[in-house]
Amino acid sequence: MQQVKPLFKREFAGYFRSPVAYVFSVVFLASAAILTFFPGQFFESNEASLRTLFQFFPWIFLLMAPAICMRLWAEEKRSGTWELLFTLPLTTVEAVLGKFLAAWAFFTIAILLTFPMVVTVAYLGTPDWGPIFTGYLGAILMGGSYLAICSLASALTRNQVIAFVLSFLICLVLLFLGIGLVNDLMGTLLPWWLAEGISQFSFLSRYEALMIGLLPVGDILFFILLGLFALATTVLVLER
Amino acid sequence: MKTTAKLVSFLLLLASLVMLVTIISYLPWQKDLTDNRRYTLSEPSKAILERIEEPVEIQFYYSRSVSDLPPRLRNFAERIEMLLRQYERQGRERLIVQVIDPRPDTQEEEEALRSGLQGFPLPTGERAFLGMVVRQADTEEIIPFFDPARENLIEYRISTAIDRVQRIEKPKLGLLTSLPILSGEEPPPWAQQQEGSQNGTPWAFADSLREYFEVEEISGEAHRLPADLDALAVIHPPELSENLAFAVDQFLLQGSPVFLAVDPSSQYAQRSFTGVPSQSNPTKLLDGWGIDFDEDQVTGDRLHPTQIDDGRGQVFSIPIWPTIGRNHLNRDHPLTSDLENLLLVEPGHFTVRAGRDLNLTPLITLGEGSGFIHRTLIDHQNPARTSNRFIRTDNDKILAGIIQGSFRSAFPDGPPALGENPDEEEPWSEWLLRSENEGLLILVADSDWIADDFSLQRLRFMGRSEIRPFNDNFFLGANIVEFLSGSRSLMGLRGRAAEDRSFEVVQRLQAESMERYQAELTRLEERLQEVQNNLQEIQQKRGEAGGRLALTPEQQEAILEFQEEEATVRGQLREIRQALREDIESLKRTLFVINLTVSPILISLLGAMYYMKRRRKLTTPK
Repeated sequence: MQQVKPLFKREFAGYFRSPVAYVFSVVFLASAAILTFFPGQFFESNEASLRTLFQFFPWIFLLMAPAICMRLWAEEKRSGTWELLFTLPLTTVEAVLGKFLAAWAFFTIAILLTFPMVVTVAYLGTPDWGPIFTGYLGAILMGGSYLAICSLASALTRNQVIAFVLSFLICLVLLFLGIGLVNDLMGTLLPWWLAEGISQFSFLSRYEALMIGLLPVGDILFFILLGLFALATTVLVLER
Repeated sequence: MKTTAKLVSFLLLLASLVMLVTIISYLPWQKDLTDNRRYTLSEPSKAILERIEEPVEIQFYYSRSVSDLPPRLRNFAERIEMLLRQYERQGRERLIVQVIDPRPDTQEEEEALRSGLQGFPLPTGERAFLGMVVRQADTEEIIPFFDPARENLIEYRISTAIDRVQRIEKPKLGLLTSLPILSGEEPPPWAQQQEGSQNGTPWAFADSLREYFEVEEISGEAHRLPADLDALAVIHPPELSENLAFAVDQFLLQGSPVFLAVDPSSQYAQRSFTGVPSQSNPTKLLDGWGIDFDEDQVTGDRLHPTQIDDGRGQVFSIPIWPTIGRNHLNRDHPLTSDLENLLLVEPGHFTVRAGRDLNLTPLITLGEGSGFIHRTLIDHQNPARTSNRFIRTDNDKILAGIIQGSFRSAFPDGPPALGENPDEEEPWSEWLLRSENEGLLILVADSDWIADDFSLQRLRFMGRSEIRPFNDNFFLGANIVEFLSGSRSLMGLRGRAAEDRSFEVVQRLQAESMERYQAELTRLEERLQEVQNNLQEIQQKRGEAGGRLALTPEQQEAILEFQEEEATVRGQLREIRQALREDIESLKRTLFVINLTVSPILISLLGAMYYMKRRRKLTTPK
């Protein structure tokens, strides 16, 4: 695991060298602000909480995470640097972890850069700090799951566009599992235990409790387990 | 690695993921980080869930898909939903929560209406629902509408509904009183012959009692309480026999709920002809339990007196008839949180002696303006003199409260000696000297408030009788009765402290601009009204003439002038209303722009710095 740190550093710094990463984070922050203020009616809700912001995170992540991760492996594969990477004294696990952690750190910074909203609610009223903390914690954990899945999708192909579309689709399915309509539909089509089992994998309902100030052990473990699973599968895919 | 090996490993990984996720979904641990632990069910609620035997089904109706639902209501509804999820989680298989979105013109909407839910109209004309039906087998309880203003009572309302839906029989309440609550008032002897004199209409409070309980009246001369009582109400009691007092004492110590209303000065007794005592104070009981109540002190409030018209046009303010407003009532307790104004008539006040293992939750407290008068100094013929004798003390005085905890018996030496006919009485075989279960005593230091005379008007119309409360006394009575009828665990339920998370800055701005424009706004609105009246007058004159009357040129001109003025005034009004909103709109714009730009600017700066640093590094010769 010694090689994780240097690789992480290199990859992390890479984000700041690439103009694309700046564009992504600006788009992310702008869409968060616009969605919160307009469709979310943050100001009209007259409530000093970040709920309106948090409820859009799963949807914004749906575009952001694939955008950040699409080049993670696909680019290396296409340009051939992949071969080079593995000539280094570096195991696949180290490589996967290093790259993932760098992406996660970058994503976390982007999430935390929505801090002006925190200042805004503190200025406007007396917010309850518990839900703000759990909301951000949940968003970071959920972001990790998104990124791990996107990293897997990127490892499956050498084309960035395909990687993007694939990650988007997987995350979309995981997101839609939490919507009432889809749940009802599954309930009628599938045997109840299967429908029940599948709905356990929903991003939306797993994030719900964190969004309002609860720290449910089950939901936190879910994000971690899903992330570990996706990373382990990435290792499998890349392993020769 | 070979492809088959990879595939097998993948399948193994997937299987373990599915297994683990299924397991963790049943993990009950969670931490509630909200202020007030909003989503943590209180112990009483948990106890109610524990007791469910047959599955209880909750249908939560929430019009989620109505797009114009005010954001505040939406957040509120989602909080209820999350709380219900906690019930479901805690109740395991015994409680099922179904969230239903009753869209317009669907079967769900019809069911909501049929169940008795109140849809509320939105400005767009759509109807939205936010209510709940709780069912067990064929009983059901309905919460027609969750009121956002009573957010602190949501848990209480849900738990009460779950508790009540499981109730098959009405509990039994013993009533020990010298007041004609159940039988109604006997008219005075000289009025008995009069036509239409109303003989014996039970008090409205009796209706509340009978709604929740099977009621059994107990005579003050009895020596025992009936065996199977679930609750006891002792209201302005007559002199109790020693043995009966001991029975009441033991009833409380066993942990059964007792409602006690005592009175230092019964107004009702002054007016009655049936020998109601003018004072009630089961001194031995109260004193023994550790409650100090001075039966000679009548409490009042100089700042919140009741104004009484003496019938000759003279109005007196009577401080010993305090008008109890919101600020005197406990806002966080379900008994008083939805009350607005009460009238107590010559009440007393009490304290719980320190050192007892008792917990007092005040329900009605007088503060600034409070004071007292010795009861013998009250001159009912001369309210002004009484008022002059009133001594203002301005300290907190508790007029009503709930006392819970481990009571000590008022009979430390055990049961009293048997009465005159020892043969008729069974001796006490066992007794308690200290509460067995936590005792609960609701104590109100006044009894007159229960009387119809001081709380409501009865209207008779075409043979039907209807009550019209003129204050909230009736509802206090109903709340107390409902509370007594709940299961023991429900009584520990409190309302949560209300949280205000609204935008204080916006409220301040609103108030400021309102102040700035109020005078102008009123002037313009008045002017508009005037102009409209003038216009109407002209039209009316014309209408009276059957519309055939042609308008004189002057009238036509006047109409035109008025219409023009109307338009101008309306324009000005619009401008002011816009100005009123302007500050707030501009705040919104500013905040939006800040949120939109601050972080991107920060990122760009960082990027620029990073770029410059790199360039310097690259260009600096080594």
